[in-house]
Amino acid sequence: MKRGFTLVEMIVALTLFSLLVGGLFYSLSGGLRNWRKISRRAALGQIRLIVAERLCADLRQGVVLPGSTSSEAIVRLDGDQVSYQLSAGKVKRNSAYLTVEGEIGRLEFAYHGRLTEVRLDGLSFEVQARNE
Amino acid sequence: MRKSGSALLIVIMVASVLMTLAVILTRIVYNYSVSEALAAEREKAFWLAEAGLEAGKVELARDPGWYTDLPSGPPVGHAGSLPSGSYQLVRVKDQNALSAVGRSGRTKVALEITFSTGPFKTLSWSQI
Repeated sequence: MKRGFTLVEMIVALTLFSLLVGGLFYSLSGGLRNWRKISRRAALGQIRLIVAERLCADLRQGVVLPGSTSSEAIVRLDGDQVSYQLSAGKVKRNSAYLTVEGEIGRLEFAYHGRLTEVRLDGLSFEVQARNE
Repeated sequence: MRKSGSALLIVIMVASVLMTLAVILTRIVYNYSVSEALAAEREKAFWLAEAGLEAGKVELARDPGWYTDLPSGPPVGHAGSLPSGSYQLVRVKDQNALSAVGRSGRTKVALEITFSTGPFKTLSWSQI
């Protein structure tokens, strides 16, 4: 009568088990890394959306001033002057920063008559400024 | 009493459970990734459609009679493009509605506004 496992059985079982556990950890860590990457991208998408909506609202209600360039939009808004630009990797509205470094990599403007084209990272849109 | 080969059997059973978990996790991450990519495309398409409407509003402010299509036949519209994709703008003659379809990749978003002219005023906005 035999009791327990044989040595060969144990070696084969442990080898298989360690291979599988190793594979599982590799898969788990890869999955978690991807999850973090996708979550970060989703969060950046939300930030981009907030900036786009803010910009859009200001441009719609304002008058784009002649000093505006492809890197800076200057808008007159209810008597105040508001400027948007990317400064040190951050979106700057007048002296306040709307984002932190690395959240938005590109902010460019182009002007086609009454339409202002905005390129905000991968997002691009046009807004009709009041420009009366 | 244990029979020969039972350790292997236990390992295979445990391994099956672990592999199932790994497959489930991979599937969840993959689905999340696909849905996130789709959401990003939808966002781009939405802003493209908005850009189309803005372009239409400019035309209508300049000329309230501006149109892209006649009431008969399928609408062809007026096309425009931006770095993130393109849009198609439709205003059927004499109808006080303006619609725009934004396209980014294979994703489309359609928006429609109704308006009154003289002066131009937006009455309603909807996603269709």
